[in-house]
Amino acid sequence: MKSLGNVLDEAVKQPNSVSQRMATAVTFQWLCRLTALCSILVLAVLLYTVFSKGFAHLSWSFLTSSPHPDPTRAGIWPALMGTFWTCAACGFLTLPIGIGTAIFLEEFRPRNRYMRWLHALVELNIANLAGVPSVVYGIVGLAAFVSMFGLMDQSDNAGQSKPPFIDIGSRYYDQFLTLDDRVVLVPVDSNRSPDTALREGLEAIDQDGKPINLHLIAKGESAPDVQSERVVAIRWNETPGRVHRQSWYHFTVPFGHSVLAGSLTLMLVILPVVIISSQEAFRAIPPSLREAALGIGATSWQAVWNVTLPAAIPGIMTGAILAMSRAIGEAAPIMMISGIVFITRAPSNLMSVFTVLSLQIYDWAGRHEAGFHAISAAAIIVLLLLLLVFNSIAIVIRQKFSQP
Amino acid sequence: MTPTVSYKLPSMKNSISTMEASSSTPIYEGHQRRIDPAEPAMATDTQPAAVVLKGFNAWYGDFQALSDIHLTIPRNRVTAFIGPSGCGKSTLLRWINRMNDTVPSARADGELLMVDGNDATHNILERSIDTVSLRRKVGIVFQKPNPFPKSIYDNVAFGPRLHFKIARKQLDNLVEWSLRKAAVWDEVKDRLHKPALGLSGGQQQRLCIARAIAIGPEILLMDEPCSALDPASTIKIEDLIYELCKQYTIVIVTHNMQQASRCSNQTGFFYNGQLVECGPTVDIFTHPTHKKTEDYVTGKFG
Repeated sequence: MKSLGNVLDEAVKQPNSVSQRMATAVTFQWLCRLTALCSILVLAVLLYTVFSKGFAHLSWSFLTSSPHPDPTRAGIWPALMGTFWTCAACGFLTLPIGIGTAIFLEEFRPRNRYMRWLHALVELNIANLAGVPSVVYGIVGLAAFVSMFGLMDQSDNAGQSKPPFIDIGSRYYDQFLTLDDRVVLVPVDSNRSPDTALREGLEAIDQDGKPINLHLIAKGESAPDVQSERVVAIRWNETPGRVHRQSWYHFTVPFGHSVLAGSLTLMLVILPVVIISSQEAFRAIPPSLREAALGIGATSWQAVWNVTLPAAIPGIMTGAILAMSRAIGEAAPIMMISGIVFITRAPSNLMSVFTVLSLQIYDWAGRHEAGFHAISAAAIIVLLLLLLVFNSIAIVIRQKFSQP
Repeated sequence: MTPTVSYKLPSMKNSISTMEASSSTPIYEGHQRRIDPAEPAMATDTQPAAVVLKGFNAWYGDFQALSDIHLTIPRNRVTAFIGPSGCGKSTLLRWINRMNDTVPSARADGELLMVDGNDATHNILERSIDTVSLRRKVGIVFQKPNPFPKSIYDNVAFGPRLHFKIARKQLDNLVEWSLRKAAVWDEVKDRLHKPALGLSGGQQQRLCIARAIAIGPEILLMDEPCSALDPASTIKIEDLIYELCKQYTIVIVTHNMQQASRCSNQTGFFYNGQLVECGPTVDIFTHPTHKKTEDYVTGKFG
């Protein structure tokens, strides 16, 4: 039997070529550089086309004006604001739910059998949900948030839209034209109340909200000649139009095609990503820290709040911001929820109809006139800048917090 | 305090070092006995017990980590647990303040009684026991220094802030007292609000001890507190243990036999989940009754 020494001697006599190994290593290095270059090249081409097409159209008025049938006068203000509103609302909704779920999954591992079962179920589901295409979430959001599964049906048989089931923060008015062709508003209790019965002494306000005394012109009566009286006089058979004013906290159920429905849908899209990245952040914390806190008599909540959560914040924030930048770019689910592209006013509350940048870009890019293609490129530049800002914030947070 | 104590190991005829060791020289190099052997090492009539174990068993899943442990830990004394890795000594330590609750598969039965000042006992293993108050009374120091990524001050103040409604000034005093008690005050007093992670390993471990004693525990558990430290820091911690045992009951798990012999009153030798032998440290290291103990303390295995 050979001793080990002899085996080694024989092996040493048949060496691999070092130069060949080094050559392979160098080749592989260059190959890797090339692949890295590929992605940069694609990005460079994209940036070049977009900038060459759209840069000329970037201007302050492009940012601050509304969509318009004439591409030279069109702007992205409502879409830009819509993006801000949906992303802000989406962030406020996603962070607590995402971090809370991650804390449940990582920090409060249950000992109870049934809770453990729930724990495993949640974990499995989140892993699966992360792979669902966003358009599917759009359909879910349409059913769940916009119409609430039709449980509180929005339209009656005639296709007339019914008032929302719950309605907070909006006031309804019947709008009349005076003889002087000015508008007066008569407050009504709710959208459900029957049309205002015209009578003398009706309380009404003008468009600035000042109370005025209405004067009714009965059937046979002749109209007054005095200007000041014509301003407050309406004809007896005048039919009102129903208008409503919304305050900033306007809220309805079902949510309708609103910013809230859009943000909830985006929340569904990015929630799995936020939960998984938060879980990773919690897992990265050494268990000794948790034990240290528990060991001096902290409750599980105190240990999480004072020790593990602060330590996990950088990881959580990085993941959350990257997820948010994904939400900014999503068009498919928003198209399901909003559906409308030609919106001329920025959202004023969570219940406003809205559009977002990516949807606006999609709409413009699909039109025939070349003018729209150019402003679509300009909108892409704005969207890219927005994403760049978000990713920079993520990097800054990671740098700032990772210092000991 | 105490003069060097001599050791005579009975059955070490095959060991050259023992044959050469005269009765006046310690067998371990640098061996400086810190604990007065004249003090009663075990719980006696005059020395009340702090923790009493009767028929204690512990499991991790189906694996029985400890079986049928009977042990009494005396108050204001240092009890050392020695034994090879995986023998269950850390498990026992972690059960005394229920740290093992964090391990989902861990369970235990038998009696693990804590004796309070009025000689009333209550079983720590009971489900109803309030772990938060238990851990206030039974502090723990881990193997690796694990300060929070906060300032030195906040590390020590963490426990008091959890347990006491305390004014700022009092908290300052308490932090200083704890740091002094843990013999680290002089090194950190000028950088109290600097991050604790900037300290050296030994300083961090003493900070952890300060953090543990800042909430006024009765018992201090130490799970190999010096195994990650250099010799100089180890000496400091050992000195500290000696100082602290005047006020606290200390249980220390160690792989370092010299450490056990230097700074404990009572030593328990664990092997394969069983408490092979427990007695005054001097006895365990000079004339152990069990062959296994003798083999272990003389370095034949382990």
